Amino acid sequence: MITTLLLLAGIIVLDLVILSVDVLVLSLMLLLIAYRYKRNTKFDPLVYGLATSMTVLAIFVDVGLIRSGLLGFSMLNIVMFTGVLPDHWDLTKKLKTYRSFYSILGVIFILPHGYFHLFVDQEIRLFGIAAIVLILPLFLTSFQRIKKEMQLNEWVKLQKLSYVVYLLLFIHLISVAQGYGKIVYAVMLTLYVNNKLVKEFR
Amino acid sequence: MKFLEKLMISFVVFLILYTFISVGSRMLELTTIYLSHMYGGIIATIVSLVLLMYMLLKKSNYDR
Repeated sequence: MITTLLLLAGIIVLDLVILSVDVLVLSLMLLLIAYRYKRNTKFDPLVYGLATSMTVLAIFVDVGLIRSGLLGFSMLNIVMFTGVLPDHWDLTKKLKTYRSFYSILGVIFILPHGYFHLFVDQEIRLFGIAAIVLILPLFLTSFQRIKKEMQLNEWVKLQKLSYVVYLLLFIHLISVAQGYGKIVYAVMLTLYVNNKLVKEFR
Repeated sequence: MKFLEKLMISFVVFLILYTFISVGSRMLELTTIYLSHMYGGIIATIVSLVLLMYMLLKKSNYDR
């Protein structure tokens, strides 16, 4: 398992493939971690703290993995595709235990990406901005402490806002990607929409 | 209050604040066009988000 993870990390670090394929490779790594290792919620605050520290660090130091949004989107990608996998799969059951964890980390890691493009480069990407604004309430309500305070039916309804966020994210990605990247993201979107519809209406 | 009403109220608050701040700062020539949208967007997002969270977390008399 460790060897596989190192090999996949090598593909990303050595920049062997285009950014959109890096997303898939990193998503695969996260998926393998979720499948292999049982989640221990005891360390969640520590991990969130570390992630926030890394995010702050990324503002001052050029950490490509975070600044490009690669790490954040890969985590959100796992959260997204967990929803389309068949419920009876062992993999889905294991991924569901990681879902809120990855979604919180994904948003933490994607914020510096938004910060740099909006404030430093002063690029206005409407779909990206809209996705980040809409993901904020979902992010806050992903914390167990806040979720417990809410009514369950309202929490479920609010989380359905994530479909709008996913759509906005993909439109943003397809519009900013170059070359084959557009095709990769378009295929991912098609697979997501297709499998989600099949799952919901079967 | 129904969930959709809470969502709509916070969205309307977002739009009103965003418009007032961005248009106001331009009319008074306080900022550039880019910064007027930036300030409007950030303030409107924070206020509407806090409002939405307040409405979602507030326990109504019915719940008690």
